[in-house]
Amino acid sequence: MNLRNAHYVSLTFLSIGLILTAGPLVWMVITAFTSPDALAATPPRYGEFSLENFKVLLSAGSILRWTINSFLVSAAVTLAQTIFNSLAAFGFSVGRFKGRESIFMILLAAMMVPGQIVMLPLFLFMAKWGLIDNLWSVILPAMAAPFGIYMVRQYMDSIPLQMSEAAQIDGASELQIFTRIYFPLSMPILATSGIFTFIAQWNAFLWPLITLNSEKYYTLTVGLSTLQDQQIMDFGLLMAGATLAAVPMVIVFIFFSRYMLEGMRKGAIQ
Amino acid sequence: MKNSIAIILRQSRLKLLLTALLITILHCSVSHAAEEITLKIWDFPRWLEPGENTDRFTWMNRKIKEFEAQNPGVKVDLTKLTWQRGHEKLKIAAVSGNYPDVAPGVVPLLFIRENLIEPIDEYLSGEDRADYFPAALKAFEVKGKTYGWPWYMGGQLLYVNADIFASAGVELPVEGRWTPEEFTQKMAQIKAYLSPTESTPAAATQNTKTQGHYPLGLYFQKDETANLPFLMCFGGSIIDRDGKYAGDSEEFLKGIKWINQLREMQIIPPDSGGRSANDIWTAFGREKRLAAGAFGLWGIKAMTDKFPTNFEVVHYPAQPGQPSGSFLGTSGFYVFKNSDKKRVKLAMQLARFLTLGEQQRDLVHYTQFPTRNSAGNIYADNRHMTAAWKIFQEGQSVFADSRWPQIDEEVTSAIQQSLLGRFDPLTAMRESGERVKRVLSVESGSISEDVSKSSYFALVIAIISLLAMVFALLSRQAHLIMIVPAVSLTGLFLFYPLADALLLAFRDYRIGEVGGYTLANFIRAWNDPRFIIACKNTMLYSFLVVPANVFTALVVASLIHGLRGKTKSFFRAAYYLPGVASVVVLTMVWRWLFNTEVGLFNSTLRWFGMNPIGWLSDPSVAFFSVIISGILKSPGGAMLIYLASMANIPNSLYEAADLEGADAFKKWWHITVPLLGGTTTFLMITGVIAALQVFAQVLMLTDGGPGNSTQVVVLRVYTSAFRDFDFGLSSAMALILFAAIMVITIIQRRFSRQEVEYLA
Repeated sequence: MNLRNAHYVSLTFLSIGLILTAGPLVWMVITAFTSPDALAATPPRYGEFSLENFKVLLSAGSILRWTINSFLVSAAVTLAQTIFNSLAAFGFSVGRFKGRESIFMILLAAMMVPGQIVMLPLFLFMAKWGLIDNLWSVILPAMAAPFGIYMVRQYMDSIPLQMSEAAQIDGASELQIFTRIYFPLSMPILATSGIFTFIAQWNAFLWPLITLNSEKYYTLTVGLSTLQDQQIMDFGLLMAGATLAAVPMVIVFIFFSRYMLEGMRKGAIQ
Repeated sequence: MKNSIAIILRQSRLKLLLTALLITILHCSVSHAAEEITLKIWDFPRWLEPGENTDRFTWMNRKIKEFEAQNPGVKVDLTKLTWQRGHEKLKIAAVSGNYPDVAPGVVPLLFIRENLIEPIDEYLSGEDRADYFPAALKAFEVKGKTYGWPWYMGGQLLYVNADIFASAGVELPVEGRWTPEEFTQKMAQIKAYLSPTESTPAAATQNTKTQGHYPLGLYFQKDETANLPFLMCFGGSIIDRDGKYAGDSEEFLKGIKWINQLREMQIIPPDSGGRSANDIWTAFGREKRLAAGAFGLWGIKAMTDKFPTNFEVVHYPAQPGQPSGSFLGTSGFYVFKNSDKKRVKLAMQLARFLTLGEQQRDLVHYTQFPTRNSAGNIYADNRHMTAAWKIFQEGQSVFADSRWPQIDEEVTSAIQQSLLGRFDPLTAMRESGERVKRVLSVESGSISEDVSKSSYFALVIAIISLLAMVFALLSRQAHLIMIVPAVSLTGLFLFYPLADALLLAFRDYRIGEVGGYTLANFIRAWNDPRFIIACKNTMLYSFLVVPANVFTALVVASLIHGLRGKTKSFFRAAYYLPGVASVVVLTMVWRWLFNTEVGLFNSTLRWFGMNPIGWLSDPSVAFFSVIISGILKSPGGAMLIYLASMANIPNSLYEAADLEGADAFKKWWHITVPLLGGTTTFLMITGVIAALQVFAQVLMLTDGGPGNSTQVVVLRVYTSAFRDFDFGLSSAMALILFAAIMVITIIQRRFSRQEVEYLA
């Protein structure tokens, strides 16, 4: 009886907490699907279902383009990071060259640098080389991430060295050892870090905001913030935009939640 | 006959020749068309054409098409700006050499000083010159040269709601003129009408609903000059005619005292210093709760079409015989310099085309006044616009100097502070005066030249990376080859800019002043009141939000840990889910919830009969709203880490506790919580590191306002770099933040090492 009560008490608490943390998102969806007239009325009649906000938003056109841009950028960054990070992680994990640990430590130190501090010089020098205001300006600086290298290396360190030694004896090159043994074996951690990279890039805001000028290159976050600037009081429209931006991440979460939850657990244990 | 044939032949030969010539010319022009010039134009959102819901660029796109049709071989590429970030974007683009051919706005003093703008005098025909109103061309004139094609003139007006005046039995000002005393008196009468119970204190406390009724709304924000004439109505000004600071003059202070008096009389709300134009507009135009408010010319259109109101435009209060001094602005298009003369010429043609008299007739949709005579009187049948035109004849312009934005920001913040009762006006205005004088003392100079020099270091790193690759290839060390790409990328996009930021922090490097190495940036950071507020706020944020988040995660994880099966997976997923949404998305929702007039929170408060709260407009509340939005976010990642750690706690401990008869809470408090200590420390420290960098949330919720009450460190780093172009100061502040994060990271290392020893 006592146990049962405790069960219900915790369910109640969890539900209240859920209303508080997920509430804003629910409110976003409700507003997005309420007809503009109902929203403008005093008092507003929330929940009067209509797709009007989405129609207006999609007819304005750009949001589809921004979504595609966000997808291209996130996919390119994820792909590049998976390749470069895993290659570097392999080099650091298996390589026996001079200065290996010191280079690795310097890379790790880079993890502490807050993004905002390098933003300004980075912008100036990329502008100098004509690298701003296109999707590359967002992709290039994110192509390799010390944190990713660190995570993958930790994982590769746990792969027994005997495997690569045996392959070496069989005449495999280092590249083959990487592609045939280490890369496939590291799949779980690569999937996890890939998903997190994708989400982080999808949500990136400050750097794209600074470097993208043309509307046709906006990513979704930048586009939405300009939408907020333009349609200051049209909350139905804004919430429809926000909903559209959140949906792909929810889908990613539903499909990959196993990897994500697993990855977080692994990260925690290390 | 033969002769004639010969003549014909000769003629036809001539024709042939002519045709050949024509073909060659045509061919030339066609081949020119093949290489096609693409002009870049940037523009702000304008009016909504009839039938449009969202697109405020229809007119511009149509005009571009017309221009392209008139000039074959020319393409025009439009970049759409926003009113909020457009100016910043233009500045960034200009300084980094990434500017368009044609850009919109008022006279671009900053760019003119940087020598980036082409004067139009050469391209301005006598006809054009005669057609333009002299004042319009004058507005674009700097040192005898004209730097832009004026398009429209506008300004700010005082609007009154005639219905409220009538029902309160108060006369509208005669000919729209009133002195400050008359204005106060009329407002007080309306106030008495709106909340008649105010005089008896007991009734006032009982009848809380009427307390929100103020007859007047004011707002003082940067880039908003609409309400400055109120402060200047006793003859004061911020910058006097000689270009000297006059914000601490008796006349100007009298203006502030007068507004403060209005606040004490409850004619304006107590948080007027933090109100935004939007708040006041909603109350005046949409909900018709205010008797008076100052807005741009656009108000006339809005209150004629979309929000029909019985309104009048009137003069700002002024002493008898003095001009009412509303602020005017002339906007147009200017052309950036380019070594390609043909391009400049085309850009000039485009700018001229857009501002021709016949195009200016379309300004009737925009409710702005044309700048050319040939546009004719497009507002002949519009009573309000005609009245506005008369009022504008007594108007004034803001201080025409490229340093005005910095001055504006300093002075606005001082005005806000003194209206909020934080400081007495004299002190606030004197202090801001000190900073304005410093801004004014700095002489002009160019940074765009220096910027182009600054990337040699990056080149060095790129070359080193290449050499490393070559070395790795030569030495045939496969592993070395593998790490070079990632290490080079990190070097180029992280270590190089870091090194550059370090250098910048120790350099005198800001707009108008590019100098040698100095420590002054750190001293200036220390003396920068906004940075100090930012530091305090950021610390407050970290100390409140991080423990709250970690505690929530701990409680939620503990409760979920006790569940089984599907319920467990459901709650785990549901709590994690909001965490995958971007800060931008979440912040948009929070803005909607916090909205003063129509947001959910205030609607709920009103429904319960309580006073609405200025969640984002009241400076004493705004930062707590930011904190609330920080606390009520998904405990996602932290919760999962806790869950993982809980799974590692051996069951035997709980069984032992069961034997001793401990209840669930005691077990949790004495076993679970202490054993999770390491995880808690880890989460706290990483949380603090993240919280110290809070930015996007604040930028989108409040942009640091009202009255700087929500400044945070990274926002200050951002604004000082990209709005004030004070790169040295920005880097110095970023470095201070970096140092703080470094210290915390080292502490974390220390802790986690202990943790490892403990586990071993």
